[in-house]
Amino acid sequence: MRKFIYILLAMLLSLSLMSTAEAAGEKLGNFKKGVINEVDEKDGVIAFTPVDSKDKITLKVSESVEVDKLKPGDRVIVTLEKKDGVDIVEKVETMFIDLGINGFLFILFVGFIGGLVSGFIGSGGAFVLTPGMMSIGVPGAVAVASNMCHKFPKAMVGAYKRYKYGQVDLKLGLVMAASAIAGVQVGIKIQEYIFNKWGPAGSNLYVSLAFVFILVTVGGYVFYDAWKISKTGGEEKTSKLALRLQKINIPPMINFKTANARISLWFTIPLGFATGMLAATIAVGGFIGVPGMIYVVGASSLIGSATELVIAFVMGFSGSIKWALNGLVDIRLTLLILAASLFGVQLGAIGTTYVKDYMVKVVMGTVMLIVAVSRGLAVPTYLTDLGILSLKEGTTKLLTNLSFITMCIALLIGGVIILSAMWKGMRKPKVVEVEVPSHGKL
Amino acid sequence: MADSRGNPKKNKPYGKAIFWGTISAIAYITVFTHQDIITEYFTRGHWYAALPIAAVFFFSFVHGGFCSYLLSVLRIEPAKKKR
Repeated sequence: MRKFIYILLAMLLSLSLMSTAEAAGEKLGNFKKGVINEVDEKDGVIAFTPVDSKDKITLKVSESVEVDKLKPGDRVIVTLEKKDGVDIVEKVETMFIDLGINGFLFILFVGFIGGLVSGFIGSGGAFVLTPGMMSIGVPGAVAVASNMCHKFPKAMVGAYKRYKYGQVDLKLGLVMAASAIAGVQVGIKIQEYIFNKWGPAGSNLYVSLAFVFILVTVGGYVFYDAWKISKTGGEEKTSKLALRLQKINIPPMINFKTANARISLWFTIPLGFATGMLAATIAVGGFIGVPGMIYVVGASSLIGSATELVIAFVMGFSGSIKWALNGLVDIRLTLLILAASLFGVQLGAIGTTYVKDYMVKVVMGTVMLIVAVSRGLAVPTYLTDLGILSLKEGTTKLLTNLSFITMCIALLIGGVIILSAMWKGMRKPKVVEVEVPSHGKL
Repeated sequence: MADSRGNPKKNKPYGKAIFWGTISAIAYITVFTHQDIITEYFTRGHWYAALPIAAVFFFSFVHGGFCSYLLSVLRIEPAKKKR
């Protein structure tokens, strides 16, 4: 155990220092943080002191910004856009919003359900939290940073709990995480290329289409598999693909003891890489990492979902360092999410000990398919932004709201399935089960 | 004697839950009553980046510990499975 902790810490430090992983998949953009000193409403100009400098700068404000609402002394994030070689302020956002009671309760609630789902299926919650925080007025970059900073401690606590239940394959997690870091870098490069070529709408469209395609195909298969298992007695078997790959002997072969699988490193590297790429694109790498560990490596659903928490920890940690270095983490938001999610993640982890392995697939498949619908609803808006479709503003607003509500429903349904399965499991009179895993046999 | 889940009956960790719960509550109250100064320092970036990272580690141990004991007090504990 001690040896593993040393390896884990050494890898974490080296990866974090070397990597500039941005697993949130959001661009930092051209912005400045600082304090407004003076506002000239007449000329549409503000005097502004950035936090990293003592010198005041004067910035021209775009007509779309309501200058009369800006006050000297406000701590803000200004988003800049170059026009004719001059930086123009396109957006001014309050850095630290006042959390009303509704915002406070919303964050706690989503934090709890997100934690519960993460503890059970290894990922989830983050995709609702970032847009959720933005909807209550948190600037985009701060929402991504604060969300990311809550992800890794939550994953750490979840991974620790599930390690105690014998469900974490640390070696598999670390191998996957190392290759995922490389995947994140490539994912960011692709995002940047698309952003530079087609702008923010093109980038959003690419993310949504990737979301829909991956979630429908992978999520659909996971759900179909779970349905098939439930019809045939509820016992999981190792996938045929994994059994075939395990027989291919390309050195170095790695023995994953807990996952009960021996497979070539050349099959796990692309898997981790894809997980990282997806994390950089849609912010939820676990949606490919967990099915990958189940269907490609040959781990059981329980081992795959628990091991994903190790990957989430490593990637979240390196991502958080990057955001913290940029000074964008609103620690109040992070701690508020943690207050509920640390409870949820442990409850979700306990839940896995009461259910059959395939329940992880049921929850994961359900959440993925509903999230795919949510992202599909956002596509027409991006097509309108690109000029391919022409929809009225009211329609695009409605679709955006529907998309967000559907995402919340995905998380909520995931939470309800977990709690009801757990409740049923706990009410069974004799639950001292003797479970001999049928998966991973060579 | 065993309960319905097959766990041997043991004392609920009330003391530990109260202890870690109190520390966690004090830590949360401290943060939210000193929001301005904390957000000011925690968002300076560079070396100050260590502050939010250290804070979340601290809260995961303290609040995570509290949640764990609270779940035990509520008798929500993992099922014993022989693998």
